[in-house]
Amino acid sequence: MKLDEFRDRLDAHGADLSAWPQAQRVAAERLVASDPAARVALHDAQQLDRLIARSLSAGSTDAAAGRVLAKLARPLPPQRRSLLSWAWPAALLDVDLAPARLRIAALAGVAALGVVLGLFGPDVTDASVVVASASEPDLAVFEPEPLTGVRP
Amino acid sequence: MDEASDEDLMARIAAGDEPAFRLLTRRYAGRAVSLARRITGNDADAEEVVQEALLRVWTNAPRWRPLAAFRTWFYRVVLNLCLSRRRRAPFVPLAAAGDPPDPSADVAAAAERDETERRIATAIADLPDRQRAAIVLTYYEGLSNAETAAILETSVSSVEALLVRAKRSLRDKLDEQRRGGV
Repeated sequence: MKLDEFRDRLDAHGADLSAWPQAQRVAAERLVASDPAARVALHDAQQLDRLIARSLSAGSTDAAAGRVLAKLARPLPPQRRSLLSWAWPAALLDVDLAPARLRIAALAGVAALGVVLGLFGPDVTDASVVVASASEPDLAVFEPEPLTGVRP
Repeated sequence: MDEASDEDLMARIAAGDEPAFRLLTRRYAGRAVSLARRITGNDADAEEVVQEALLRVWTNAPRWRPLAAFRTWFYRVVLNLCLSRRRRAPFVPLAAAGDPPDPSADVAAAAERDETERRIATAIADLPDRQRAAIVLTYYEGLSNAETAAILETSVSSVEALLVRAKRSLRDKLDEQRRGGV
């Protein structure tokens, strides 16, 4: 294992070599034993890991969790049960549609308007065409003359 | 019932068993609030997110299928709600609360430690959403890269790439701040 790869692995797997995949751990330990620069990289990575862990562990959330549980103490809403529940992949359950509700409502509204206009809207058939074809029935005959084959 | 697995509890919740739901909420509320707080950077948002996520557990339990561990699915719900909320509101970095002051500790050393924690907290807060999520899930929740990948709905190699980029960015930010004497 080269030093650059070792540094990348330190960032990807953390500075605790015992948690690394076996093959990579053996190669990393060999590098650390032979290369002073690798030992420095390991030390720096351990320091960064400690800093991150300490920063994230700051502050207690007991009170906040208590408030959440208190709010959930109210009567719970009805559960969603569907005859087609077996057909719902679990992955769909965590889809959050809340941000798109306005757009979904707009789309449904436009679709409903289309249906209403289609059923009850004005008739757009061109009346003049209908009248012309009805009053001049000859125009619609294109049979050729029996002997000459000339069209009228 | 306290020793029941999450999946067993979910089966009971699916049948409308409210005490099972209460037990599951007690099991997860604290960790979920911590996770949400570190992603949203906002206590009020974190509480609302977790409340909503837990209500989803109750309402959707009859349709839940154990395709993955409950914890993976639940954290994914929490994370998605956090990220969705963050798109609507700017992130506010958490103040590093630190440990209670120790009167016997050296004041200068304590001040330096607090300053370093403040710097790293700011640097983590400045990370892109998914990089910060990967850092929080692996360092705060102590999840493996594979578990983190399942929650982020991506591959293990993508999680590793997120972690590499995140740590490079943190290192650069800390170096910048040190050089600037901030």
